[in-house]
Amino acid sequence: MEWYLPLIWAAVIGTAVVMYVIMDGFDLGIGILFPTARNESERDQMTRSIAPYWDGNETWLVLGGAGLFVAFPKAYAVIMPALYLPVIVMLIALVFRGVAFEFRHVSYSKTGWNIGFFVSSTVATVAQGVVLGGLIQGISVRDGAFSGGPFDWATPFAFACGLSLVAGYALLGATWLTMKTEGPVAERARGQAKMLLVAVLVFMALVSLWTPLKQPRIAERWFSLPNFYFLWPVPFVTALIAYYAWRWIEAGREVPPFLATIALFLLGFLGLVISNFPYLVPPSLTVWDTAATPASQIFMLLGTLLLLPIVLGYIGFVYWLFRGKVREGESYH
Amino acid sequence: MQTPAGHELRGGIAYPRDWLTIIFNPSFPYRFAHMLNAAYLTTGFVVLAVGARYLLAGRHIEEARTMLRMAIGLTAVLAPLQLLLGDQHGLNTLQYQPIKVAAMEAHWDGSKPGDFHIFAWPDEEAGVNRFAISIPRGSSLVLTHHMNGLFPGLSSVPASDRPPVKVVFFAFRIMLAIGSFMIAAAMYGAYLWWRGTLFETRWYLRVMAQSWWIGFVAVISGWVVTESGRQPWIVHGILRTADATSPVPGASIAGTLALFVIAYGIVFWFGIYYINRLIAHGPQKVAAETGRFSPSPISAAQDTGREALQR
Repeated sequence: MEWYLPLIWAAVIGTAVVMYVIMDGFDLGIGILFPTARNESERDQMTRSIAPYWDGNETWLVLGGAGLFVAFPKAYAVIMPALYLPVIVMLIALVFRGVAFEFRHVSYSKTGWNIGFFVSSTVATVAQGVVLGGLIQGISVRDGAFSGGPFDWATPFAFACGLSLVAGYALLGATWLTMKTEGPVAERARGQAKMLLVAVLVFMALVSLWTPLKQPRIAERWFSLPNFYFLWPVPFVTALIAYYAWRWIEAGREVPPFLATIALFLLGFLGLVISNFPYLVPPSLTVWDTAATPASQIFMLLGTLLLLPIVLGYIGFVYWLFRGKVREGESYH
Repeated sequence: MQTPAGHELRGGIAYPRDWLTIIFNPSFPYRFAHMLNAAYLTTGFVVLAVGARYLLAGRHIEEARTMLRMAIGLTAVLAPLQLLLGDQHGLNTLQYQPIKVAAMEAHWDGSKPGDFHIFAWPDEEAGVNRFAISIPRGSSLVLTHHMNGLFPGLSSVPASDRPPVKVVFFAFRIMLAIGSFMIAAAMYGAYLWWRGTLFETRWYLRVMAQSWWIGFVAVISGWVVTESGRQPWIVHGILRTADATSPVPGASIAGTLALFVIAYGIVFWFGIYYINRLIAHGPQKVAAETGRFSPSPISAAQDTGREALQR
């Protein structure tokens, strides 16, 4: 029990992170694409397509953060000080974004909130990518505590991860709009999705090659034999899905491009897990090094396992309830 | 963190022993009841203020009367109840965090009964109070229910183990003053209602119309009392705040704190602006009357709110 509890918790937190990235990803993506809308009615259509979901989507971040705090307190105590500035910038951007979204609906003059929605969505996305990059490139740790400086995370690699995530979320947003809207908004989103798909593939290739070049331990994990025999399908399937995503967008399909984008994100996450497992704080602390006592992990796990199915159930219900497309001038906020 | 329980210390680190004891720790029921009641009182006085404004302006008379009746009915019960809950909470704090209580009362010498200071300027260097206006033995009477009862003073512990006395002392005075005002306002309102002159007593309505903020200030003051009062501990008796800091440089903390202040300043400014606009527009007809049904109370509320704002 001592050794597999941390694995279960790592899986719970991994699930929360994946759910967050995919679900808040598409609504952050709407924010990133916001300036490309031509008029207020198009912007209304875009925000209406995410209105029933966006605040629920963000709560996965809470499960990820609180889960890390409770189940892996020593990892939390290292990661948060190391990535303090990007994490706080992300949180403040998310506060602004939620407020801009809601106040935009009730204000007479929407321009300020429109700009705020775009800027805060983009800043939050870049900060999330930087946090991810900061983790991958490694955190300096001495005696179980963070031992680096406040700007250790600020490397070209981390900012490349930030830009990759902007492209990725924008692609999620564009394919979401293709699926959930009609008319000029959906038409433009289809064109954007093609360009963004190319950008995402370029960024994925860049980060995937840069990471092993920078981190010998990750190169070792992927390219040593026999590992490579088992791992080559990951990039191969990624390429295959990217090809089909392109075909589906070209053919004017509505749902498959969004699902394909989700699959690309899942494969990216799988690549991350393969690169870094069992490290929670690369390159020094594993899930077992940083785990809380079994009593704490079990106590919290009982609550999580009880509530998670309920949460998933009502999320499914909400997506079902608001299924279908948002037409121009229609509201279900 | 105020009254930690259910843990065991091994090698300087606290491990959970019994989760139910951790959650239902000695001060939990008092804090929970006191805070929950405070939230209802805060809302009650906002409703009271808005209702009073409509009545004074001669608008939405029916709704305003309902608002006044609901708010006074609620606060006339809860405001005195809060005095009782606060007293019990204080006795609990005296048992587990006596130095916090000493700071709340600015009580230095534990060998003498404590006076209740209506005003004082605690001199933390000299360990005495300046310019004190006091009710002799008032604190002893409240805390021990005896005129000559003794309770620990601030001087019984070294200065390094005391909270910042002025902050705790004055925040507690603000909370007490607002609490007393709430009791007086609610009871007098109930008296006017009983006399049948509540809706015509304009001076009372004018005062109430300006009192929407008092609950918020009282809640924040109470929070300052309890959190500053437990200093220098972050987990009482186990971990000092100074030993609990992260390896984050002060400049990062100062910079992000400034960001938070700016962000919340903008957000709350606009929030208050939109809420005021909503109040100025007044209540709208409910969905059933306008013939438009919303699937849930929340979306019905949102629809009417949005309608009111966009008018």
